[in-house]
Order: sequence, then structure tokens, then C-alpha cells
Amino acid sequence: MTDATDFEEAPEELATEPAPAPKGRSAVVVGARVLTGAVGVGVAALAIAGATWLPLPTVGGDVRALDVHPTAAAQERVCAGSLLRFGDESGQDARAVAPIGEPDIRFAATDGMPRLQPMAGGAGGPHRVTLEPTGPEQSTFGASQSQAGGEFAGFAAAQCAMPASQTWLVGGASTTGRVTLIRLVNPSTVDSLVDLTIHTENGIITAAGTDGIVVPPGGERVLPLAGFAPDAASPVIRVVSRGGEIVATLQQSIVRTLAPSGVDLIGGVNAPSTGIVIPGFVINGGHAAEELTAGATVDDAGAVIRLLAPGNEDATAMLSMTPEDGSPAVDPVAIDLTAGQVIDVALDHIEDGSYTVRVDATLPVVAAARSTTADGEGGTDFAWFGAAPVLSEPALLSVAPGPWAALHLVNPTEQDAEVTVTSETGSEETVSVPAGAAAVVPVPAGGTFELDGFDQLHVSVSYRGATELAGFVVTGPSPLARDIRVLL
Amino acid sequence: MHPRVTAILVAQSGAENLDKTLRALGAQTRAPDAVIVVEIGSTAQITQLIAQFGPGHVVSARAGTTFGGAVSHAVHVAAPPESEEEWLWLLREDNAPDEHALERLLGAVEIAPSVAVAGPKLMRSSEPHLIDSFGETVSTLGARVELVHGELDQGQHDRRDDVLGIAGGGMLVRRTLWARLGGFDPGLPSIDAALDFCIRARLAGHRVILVPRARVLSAGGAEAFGARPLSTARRFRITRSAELHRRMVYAPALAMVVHWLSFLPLAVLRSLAHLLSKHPGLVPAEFSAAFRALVDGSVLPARRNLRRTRTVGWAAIAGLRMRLGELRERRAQAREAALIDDVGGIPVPRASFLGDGGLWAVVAMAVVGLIAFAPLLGASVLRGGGLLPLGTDVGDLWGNVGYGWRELGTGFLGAADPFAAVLAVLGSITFWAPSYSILLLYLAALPLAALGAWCCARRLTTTRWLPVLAALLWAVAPPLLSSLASGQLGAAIAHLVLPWLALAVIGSGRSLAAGAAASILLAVVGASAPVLIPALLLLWLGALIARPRALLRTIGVPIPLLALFAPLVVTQFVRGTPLAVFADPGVPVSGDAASGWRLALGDADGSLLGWPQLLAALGVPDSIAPFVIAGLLAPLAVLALLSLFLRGTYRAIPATLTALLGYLTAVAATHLALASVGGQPVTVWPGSGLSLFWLGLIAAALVALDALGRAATSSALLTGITAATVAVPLLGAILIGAAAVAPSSRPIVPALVNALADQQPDVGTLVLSPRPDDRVAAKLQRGAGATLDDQSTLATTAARASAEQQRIAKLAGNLVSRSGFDSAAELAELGIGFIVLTHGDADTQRRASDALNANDALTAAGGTVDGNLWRFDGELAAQPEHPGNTDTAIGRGILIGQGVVFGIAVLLALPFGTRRKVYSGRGPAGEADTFESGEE
Repeated sequence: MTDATDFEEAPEELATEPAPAPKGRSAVVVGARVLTGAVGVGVAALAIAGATWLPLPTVGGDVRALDVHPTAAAQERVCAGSLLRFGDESGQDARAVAPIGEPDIRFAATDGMPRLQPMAGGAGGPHRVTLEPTGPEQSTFGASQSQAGGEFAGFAAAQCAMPASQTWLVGGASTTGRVTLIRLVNPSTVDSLVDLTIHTENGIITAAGTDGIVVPPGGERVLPLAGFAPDAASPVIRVVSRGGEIVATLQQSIVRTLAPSGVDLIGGVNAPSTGIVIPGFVINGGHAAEELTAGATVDDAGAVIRLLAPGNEDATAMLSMTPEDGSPAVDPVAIDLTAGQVIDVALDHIEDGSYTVRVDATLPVVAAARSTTADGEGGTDFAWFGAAPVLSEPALLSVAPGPWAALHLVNPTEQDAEVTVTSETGSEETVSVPAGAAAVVPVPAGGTFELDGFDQLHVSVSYRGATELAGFVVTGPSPLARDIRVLL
Repeated sequence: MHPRVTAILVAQSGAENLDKTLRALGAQTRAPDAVIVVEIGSTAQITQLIAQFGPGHVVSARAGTTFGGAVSHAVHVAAPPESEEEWLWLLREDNAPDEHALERLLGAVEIAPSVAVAGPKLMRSSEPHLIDSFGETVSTLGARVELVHGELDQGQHDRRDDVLGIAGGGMLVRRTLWARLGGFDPGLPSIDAALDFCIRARLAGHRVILVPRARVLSAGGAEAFGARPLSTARRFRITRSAELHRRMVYAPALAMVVHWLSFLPLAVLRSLAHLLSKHPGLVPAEFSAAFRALVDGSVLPARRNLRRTRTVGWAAIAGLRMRLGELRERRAQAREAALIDDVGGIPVPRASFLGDGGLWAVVAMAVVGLIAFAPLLGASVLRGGGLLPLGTDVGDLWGNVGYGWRELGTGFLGAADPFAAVLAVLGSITFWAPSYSILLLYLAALPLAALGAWCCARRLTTTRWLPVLAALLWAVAPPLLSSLASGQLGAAIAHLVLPWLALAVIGSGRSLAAGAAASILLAVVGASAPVLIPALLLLWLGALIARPRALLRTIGVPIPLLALFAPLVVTQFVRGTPLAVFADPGVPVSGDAASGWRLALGDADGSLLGWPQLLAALGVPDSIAPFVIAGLLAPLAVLALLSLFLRGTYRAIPATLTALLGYLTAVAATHLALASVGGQPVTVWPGSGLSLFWLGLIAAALVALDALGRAATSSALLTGITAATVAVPLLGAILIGAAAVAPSSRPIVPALVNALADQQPDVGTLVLSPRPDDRVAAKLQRGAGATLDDQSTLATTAARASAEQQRIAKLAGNLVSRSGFDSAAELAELGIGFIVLTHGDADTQRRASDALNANDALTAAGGTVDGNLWRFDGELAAQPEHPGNTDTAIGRGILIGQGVVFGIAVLLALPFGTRRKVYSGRGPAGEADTFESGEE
């Protein structure tokens, strides 16, 4: 804009100016406008820059939330009960199952007295352990059972589990000489409709009758795996219930060329996760066991880790084994997992001892490990060691009687933990569990132990003898009893 | 017999007038036989003057004595009457008589024995050729009418003699009549006293005549007797009081009650009329007069007096009263005369709506809007984002206004959001289906924005085609489209109303109606987008300072806004969360706030106006989106800043300041996390601030284009094309259904519950939404669910959960847990019949689902679109009745207060009843004489 045009247009602002403004006046007007404009541009730039880069505080941001501590409720554990065999005592009626002897059930609570009641099937059937609340705080509560294998040989132990709507059972086989029973107990007061999803080395098995299995209230259903998946070497079963929640357990027994070769009760393992920990994987008499099946058609005497990525995508898992005594770890191996297909990873030539198995996968997986013990004289047993959930609160566990019982503690955190193990007699032992490492605590059989002094811990119990091998993972209080934050 | 005249001169003030009057009195051709001067609250000056003149008597009366009282006082001290032919001549200090006045008055009464009262022609003392008063009458309804007022005296009224009444000054009255009638009514201290006296004289069988050839000066009406200059309102109050007093005195006994009862209702109605005629100042006077009339103790004595002296019926004077038709005609003439006076100023040529493309711009935007919102055509209800349906009944909408029970979640008693009133008005437009009005608003948003912007721009620029550009830019403004797409109804309404508000504020410099309209529009904008209030109040303050002459018309602009917000503001202050007043009304939507530079690009929600998606679809890297937008907006930004360098700075500075304030508001909004929902903080929607930003930018650009001269056309074309291009992805998003808002007839609660809600309107549905890490969001819905008008910022901005909410939380926490909590009892007591578990975090959902399945009190009722449903079969406790907005004293008070404020504002804003001079009960100024007095 030239001075001249500006001069002509100026009067609009200078309405009171009677005569044409002098030349100097127009220069002043132009100057004032340039100044105004410059200030405007500057303010605009400052405002945008300030809004973008100044660390302006945010006002408010409060949310309404309330941490709700669920009111203590009656707690319930279900012990699977006696080992079962097909046929009655005389070996007739192969469609029926009959209990063999009675298990030894141990239970305890930090507060209150749990009650043990037999369910369907009387003394040999499943048992319910209930604990009524004694106050507003949930009492810590644990129960387990153990039983010598009897005609199956060997030894089996299991935790008495909480009913759940979903259980992952990793273990068993239905190949020749291997019998796997799926035991479903419904402790609730309503019918339970159970759907089974059976994964094997060949993927998901479609079979009649896997869906809508009715388990009556307070009743039990026992189903042979072979009925759905004959000749499955590596099954993984997902049990989902609608209506009443159930407790699902596998019972596997092995007969090698007519010789009873052990029995195991397999409880639920940790739900699919990308970080799996199997504490206390015990290998005992491994070399003798490996020789058992040399040349046999079914080779299941070696140590294996069974893995499944149950999703729809293939995954890669990094498998590592660390001796719990602090010796150097076995070199990790990478395993490719095909979606939905179970893989048994053989672990040959592993020294005897107890190990922590870790699986870090790209996708959620389930896992359990199996090992076999043999005395070299025909006596043999096997056991499945499942992935343990993480405990984040003090736990109470009852260790049912058995040979060489031991607690296995794995600290997954990055802080060393001093775990106190208090027995029912009041004797207290402090166990150092370094960050990321494990500790083994031999315990007297039949005792009750309270664990405290940790943030997070994986815990399992193992039993071992020359011809006896068993283990179970310890689960904490029901996740449904955890505090919940309610957002309003 | 020779008549005897006693002149009574009442002096109160004005030494100059008194001097003149005394001198004139002394110069009479027929001197009064006695002169009595009454000095009221004497001053030395008066006393001195009177002494100089030397009358027969000087009487003192205490200050505050009325004219009538002073005369009566003087009559008392005068010599007792000797005959019927004794006359009193009443004069005020300013009534200097013509030298022949008394002679001619006497001459007139001597020839007609029936005459008891005679009046001179009162001339204005300041302009002696103008008639100040020459006879009075009353209308059919009893209002006083001056027969002549302020007319040039050309002898045109000299034929008139018999009248109903005359003014008090210069009145010649028979002394016996004065005594019998008891003088002037003490209930009429100034105005109407003489008229009333004359009416009583007429009713006592005497005549009242005018004597045109007798002239007396007058400095003002009866009400001016009292030294102080009177305000319009005070004069009006005195007139109205006198009118009401006379009405009570003249009425038949039975009608008195009716009149007495009618005072207040009439005052209300007349106040409305005052407001309509833009005279808000008369309202207090109207009520003051009514209240005085209600407790007027002088009525009964006056009635007794009238009954005692009356000898003829009212019919006898009917012919002297003014008929209503005549009165209307006189008023109409007065209005015309006033209009002729008012015409002034040369109209500035402005764009015309039809001739300069305004209509075409609106039609074009209507077409664009219909295309963009085509997916909404045929729907009846919109949902998504910040949108929910409105209540199904207009009564419910209005029931949610004011102070009462807020049916949201557990419910609470509190003040409604001001936005509820906006929604109630909006929903009333389609009263048969209130939610449909929101859909119509969406479909009409673009043309409405164009229309508003066009009309506003017309006032800002004299270039005739520029408003079309403004209409285009405002209709496809990114903040409007973002607000519509994300269901921010309040921000969208604010965008549509802002140009009208600007227009009204500009107009309020000259017109009270525009100021009142601005006040209502400000309340609408503030209620719809409270975050704009600080910026708008700053702009209002700026307008006040910039236009001190319009102070009176502009100062009241925020009053309706304040009235609307007062209950909420008080509640929030008491609660200790004063900032929460600025929280967005409506459904809270949590989302990420856009950063500073994104806001400058007009991006309210951080989506960069949909450009990344468009560029990706075109195969261009979407990272260049900010540069594309910046490039497209550059012409507008450059023009806006250029305005400061060009001619028209006085318009450019307010415009750019508006833009700056808008931008700062938007930035502040993103840092105000005032509300929260489901455990997520909710920041204020910055779109409304961006609307103000955009408004300022367009206004500044118009100023620049006005000044650019020949370069304007091409610049405007470029700006229009680029700025419209920016909006293309946003318009497309709605078209392809990518916007949050979509047509939906889905009920708020699952269909099963919705169906049941007809019979059980208060059945509760607890909606649980699983979140990771053992967290669950809980929300209680009643009946068919909380609608848009049910929403309350008091609930969403509460810093802590209320006791009732904690109860819900405890119930929810235990329901999704294995728990010994007696949930059945609590569900029954809270009246919760259904529980919905929405889809969410898998772990928490499983936990919640397991716990709900294991709960004996609940029955799974299957899956719904919203999630899984459980039914509680127990007997639900009846929910207590909750107070509505008219059920509490405070609620009624608030509704009445807000109603009164808005009623006044609406009446003042209505465009008819242009302001005219207050009708003072006198005749019109400068009218032609068309009135012929009725002869008795």
C-alpha cells in the first residue's frame, strides 16, 4: 500500500479530522498500522507456540472410584477323591468306574475351622471342604490330597481346587496302555453345562459329546479321554462350564506291557499367558526311566514339556530351565508353536534335580512338564508339573502326606524376597528367594504352612521317592475375591 | 349582589415566578377583595417578597403541605363567608394572571348562576403562545385526559366552555361549594386533585366552565408542584396512583372489591406492556402505584364525602367523558408525530438477502448439508458420541429445567444444567417427538449457520458480495462439523447462535430490543457451551468500554445468563468446585485433547480433521496432513492478520481479539479436565472455543477484504475455495458413516428392560463395564435410561462419589466378586431389576461373569447388543417419589425468578412496540385539534 492510497482511506478512522491531514500524519498512520499488525502477528505466534510448548497444567482430572473389598464369603475346595478304575471291584462292568481306596486329605485355614464333607459316591468319591466366614476378612484356606497308587503303582497328589468356570488341563494321553479320565465335579447347587475343547498334537479334536455335558448339582461325571480322542499322545483340554462352576481334574495311569507304571492326578494349570513359570519340576532317576521305553512304540518315559498356543495364530516360545539349587541354567531353546496344536518338547539327558521352567512366548500359551522316576528294578511312577499362577497375597497350604515333600518357591520379581514359612506348630523359617530365582524348602509331610513376606511368588509342592513322583501347584485365593476398583 | 373574591396564592419555591405572580396580581383590572398568601416551608426570600407586596394575610404552612391542603388552610383563616357570591381564586406561585383574568372569569360566572367553577386558559410560562392546559376530562375507563396540551393558541379552542374538569391553577370556585365539597381530596396530593374536585362539583349539580379569554401562566402540571424535578418513572407513579385512587372512589361499592383484587394482576399485565414498549423503567413505578392503592386509607373518607355531596347520577356527566375510540385516535396521532420526529440518519447501503446472493448461499449450504447428512435422512433419533435421545415427552423436558430431582444414576436433588432449558426449547419445536428436533438441527445446521453468518457479515461490511463468503466459511467451519460429527450438540448450537449474538451486540449500541435479544442469545450460547462464558464476558466488557453511550442498553446483557446459571454456580461454589461450572453439559465423552498447534488448525479432537485418512486413501503419506491443512488455511490466516495492517483497524482489532480469545478458550478447554465418567477424566470440548476463534478470523478477513479494493475478489475466491476444501474430509466422514453420531433407534437400555420400563418406569439397570486390572465401571440407569436432557454436570463433575454412589459401588464390587454380601437385599432395596455386563477387558469380564453366574439371586437372561444380561427376580422395593422442579419452594422460586428474567428479556426483545415517549396522561404533542367537547 502506498502512502497516497492510505492517505485517502485514512479519514474513516479519523472521522473528526476536518481538513486533509498533513503529510506527516499519514506517515504516522502507516507507522501505527504496521506496529498494530506486527503486534498482532507476534501475539498470534506467541499464543500458538505457548499453547504447543508451554507445560500448561491440567486442572481437575479427578475421577470417582471406590476400592471395594468383597465381603468374605463361604469358601469351598473340592478334592477329587479316590483314584478311579474302570469296572467294579470284580473287574466287571467296564462302563462303570470304581474308587480304589481312599485318599489322605489335609486342610487348614488361618481363621475358622473348615469342614470336610463327602459328595456323591461317599467316602471314595469327591470331597468338599468348606469354610464359613468368621469375620469381614477372607480367611486363607488350603487343602490337598495324596494317595498311593495301589494297583496302578506309584503315587498321586493334588491340590483341592476351587470351582471355576474355565480350567486348562495339560497332561494325559490316550495311546495304548495310557488311560486318562476326565473327572468333572459340580459342587454348586445348579446344573452345570460343560464344554470340552480337546487339543492334541493334531489340533482341535472334533468329537460328539464334548459340548453340553451335564453335571448335576453336587455330582460328578467321569469321562475317558479315549472316548473323544483315541490314541492322542499329547492332549490339552480346556473345560468351560456354564451354570454351576466345576472342578475338573485328569487322572492318568500308565501300564507298560502289562506292568503298572504309575498314576497321576493332574489339576488345572495357569490360564494362557505369555510368561509361564513351572516351579519345582522334579527329575528323579531320569536315566533309569529313559531306558524303560527304549525300543517301545510309545515313548513317554522321558521328561517333556507340553506347550500349546490356544489362539488362532502361531507363536514362538523361548524355553529355559534353571536348576533350583543355583547351578548354571540349561541353554534356552526356541520352540515354534503352531496355533492350536500341542507340542511335547523332549528334554533328554537332564541331570536329576529340581528345576524352574520358564516359557516366554509371543502369544499366550499353556504349559506343563512331565517326568518319570524309575528305580531300575521295574518300579516306576510319573508326574505332571503344571504352570503355577502367581500368588500376590500370603498363602496357606496343606501338604498331604507323601515321600520327601518339598515346597518350591520362585520369585518372579526384581526384588529379593525373604519368605517366611510358618508351620502349624509355630516354627518359623525364613527362606531367601533371590530376584528371578527359586528356593526349595523340604517340609514334613502332612503339615500346614503359611507363606508370607513376598510381593509375588510361584509356589508348588513336590513329592519324590524311588518309585513315587507327584506334584501340584498352589493357587491363591479366588481371583473373584480380589479387591476391585469400581469406577463411577 | 357584588361578588367578593378571595385570591389564595400558594407559594412554595421559585422566587422568580412568585415575584411575577405577585406583581400580576397587583395589576388586575378587577382586584381581588382579599389576598391570602400561603407560604409552605417558608424561605427568607419568599417572606421578603411577600412583605414587599403587602397582601391581606400571610399564612404559613409546614413543608410538604399539598396545594389543596394549603388552600383549605387559607380558607380557614379567611373572614367567614358573607354570601353565596363569594369566590375563591386559587393560584400557585407560577400562575401569573393576565391583567384581565379575574375580571373575565367573574364576568363569565356572573351571567351563569349554575356555574360554580371556572377556569382560565393556562399558558406555558416559558413559551406564552403555547397552551399548557385548557380543560381536562376522563376516558371511559377513568384515565385523565388533557383536552389541550402544548398547542399554539390560535383561538381554535375558544368555542369550548363546558368541560368536565379544569386544572387547579387559576381556578375560580364558589366558596360555599368549596366548603361543601370539602376542598381537594387529601388522597390526591397533586395530580388529578382539581379534576376530581370538578367531577364532584359536576355530580353536586354544578357546571364547570372554561373562560378562554382569561389567561393565566403555568410553569408545569400539578405534579410539578413540589420543586424537585420529577423523573419519568416518578411522574408516572404519581399519575397512576391518582388514577387508581379515583377508580376506587368513584366505583360502586360492589365493584370496589373487584377493583381492589385487580390491582396486582393489572400491574403485571401493564408491566408486560411497558416492557413490550421498551420502558422497563416504568415497571417498578407500576407496582409501587398498585401497592399504594392496595393500602390506600384515604379512599373511604373520599367515598363518604362523594356520597354526601352527590346529587346527580354519573350518567349526567357521561357526555363530557372521552370515548375510547376517540382516545385511541389521539394516541395513534401522537405515535405518528413521534415517528416523524425520529426519522434521521441516512441508511448505509448494505447487501440485500435476495439481490446479493444471501439466499443462494443458504440454499447451497442446505444442499451440501443434505448430502453430507444423507445417512441421517429418514431416521428419527440420533445417537453416539455426546448424543443421546431426548425424553419422549415434552413435559419431561421442561420437568428437567430448574431445580429438582436429577434422574441420573442414583439421582440427587440439585440444580439443572442451563443447557436443559435449551434442550427443552429445542425439543418443544417437535413436541410430538422431541428427539426429532436434534435430527432436524443436524439437517438444518449448515444453512442455519450460513444464514446467521450472512446476516452478521452484512453488518460488518459494506461490500455487497462479502457476506456470501462469510456464510460459506461459517457453514463449513471445521469446529461446527467436528462438533456435529462427535455429537457435541451444545457446541454446535453455540456455533449457530454466535453470529446472531454478534449481530445483536453490535445492534445494542442503538436499540434496546437488540440489547435484550443479545442478552437472551448470550444465555443460549453460555448454556450450550459454558466454556465460552469468560471470553464472551470479556468481549462484552470491551463493548461496554468501547461504546460508553450504549452503556444502559448493553450493561444488562449478562443478566439472563446470570439468572440461568445462578443455581448451578451457587451449588458448585458451595461444593468447592467453582471451575466445574464450565464443564460441558450433555453426555460426557472422554478422549484425548488436541495439542496447541492442532487447535490452531481448527482440529478439536486431534483427528486432524480427517485428513490423514483421506491422504492415506489417496496413497499419500498421512504425515503431511498438518502441512496440507496449514496450507489450505493459510489464505484465511493471512487475510485475518493482514486486516491489522490495513484500513479499518477499529474493526480489525476487535475481530482479531475475538479470534485470540477463542483460541485461548480452546487451549484452556483442553486443560480443563472438569468432569469424569467411568473413571476417565473428561476435558472440555475445545470445539466451541474454536468456533469463536473461527468467528474472529472470518470477521478480520472481511475487514481486510473490505480494505483490499481490487485485490479483494481474487483473495476472497482463493480463501473461500481453500477453506471449504479443508472441510471436505469432515463432510465425507459423516457421509460414509465414520462419525460417532449415527441414526439409531436402539434404546438406551437393553430392549428387554426398555419394554418393561413402560410398566415399571423406575426399574433399575446396573450397567457394569469391565476394565483391565480388576476395575469395573458401574452406572445405574432407571427405567428406559437417562436421556440427554437428564444429564447433569453436577453429577459428572463431582470430585467424590456420593453416599448413594458408594452404595452402588459396593454393590457392583461385590456382584463381580465371590462375596458373602447380601446382594439380593441390596438389589431389592435399590430397585435394581437387571444387570448388564458390557464387553470389555477379558479377564475382568470373566471374573464378573463367573461371579454373576454363581449368584443365586440372579438369572442369566442371555446376551444383548449391549452385553450380557442378568435378571434379578426378587421383589423390588418401591422407589420413593422424588420432587420435581415445582415441588420444592426453592425450585419454584428459581423457576419463577428465571421465568421473570427471561419474560422481561423476551418482551424487551420483541421487535414490535418501538420505544416512544411515555404517555403521561396528557394529550399528544403538536396534534391537530380534532376533539370537540361534548355538550351537556
